[in-house]
Amino acid sequence: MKFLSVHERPELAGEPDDREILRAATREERVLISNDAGHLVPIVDEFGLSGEDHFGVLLTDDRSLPRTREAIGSSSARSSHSPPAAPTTKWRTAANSSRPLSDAARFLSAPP
Amino acid sequence: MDDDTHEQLLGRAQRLEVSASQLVNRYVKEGLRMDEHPGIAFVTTPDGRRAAVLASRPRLKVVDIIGTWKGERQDVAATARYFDLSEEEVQGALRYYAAYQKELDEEIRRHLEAQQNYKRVLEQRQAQVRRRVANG
Repeated sequence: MKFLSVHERPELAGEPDDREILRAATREERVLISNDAGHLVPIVDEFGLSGEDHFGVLLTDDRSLPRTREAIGSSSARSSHSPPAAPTTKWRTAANSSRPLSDAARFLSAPP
Repeated sequence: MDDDTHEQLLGRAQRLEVSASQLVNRYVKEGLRMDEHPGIAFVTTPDGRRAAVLASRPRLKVVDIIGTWKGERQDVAATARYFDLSEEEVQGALRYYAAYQKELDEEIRRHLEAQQNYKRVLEQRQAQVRRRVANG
């Protein structure tokens, strides 16, 4: 599974608009992972209404899945949807997804 | 204020649809904070709020660093590794947090509340889809 952080893409480093991040992920056929549901869910809805495709958005919950190496690592070992230790916004290749996420936003489940 | 700057200010205020005094207040407030905390910058978030970010990583909010720092049991090195930052950058975010803790704690509370709200919304949508599929 190939993960990339947005900050590894210099052309997106100063990009304040998450729409452009989602479009960049789509161009590379990647799922976007973020903890920012407040911004991403309305954008996913907007894409849906305008018929703009994307490869899915996977959301993390800071309460049940704090963004620490331990929490993200244990979730990663358990689920094919989970990211490894990761900065705020990441994306991963859609080809490795066991459940189709295309055009959807879902929350990543927390470790039991 | 010189005439050129005043004109520039009025034009910018008009574009942002705020009053010139509101914009001056924002510039002074953020300018003072950036002078005190050189590693910190400010961006407008999609919901129109201004957020403190790392100047070197403008997509990375200070509250995100604080959230991970708390989750990592206040371990600066672990937080730096997680975000691929230097420990000095994390320390800079912590100094900013110490100076404006009440404001950032409120931002974190709003962020967590939004997460929970959207989680409920998505769960309700998925339940509706499942019901529709089950009912043919």
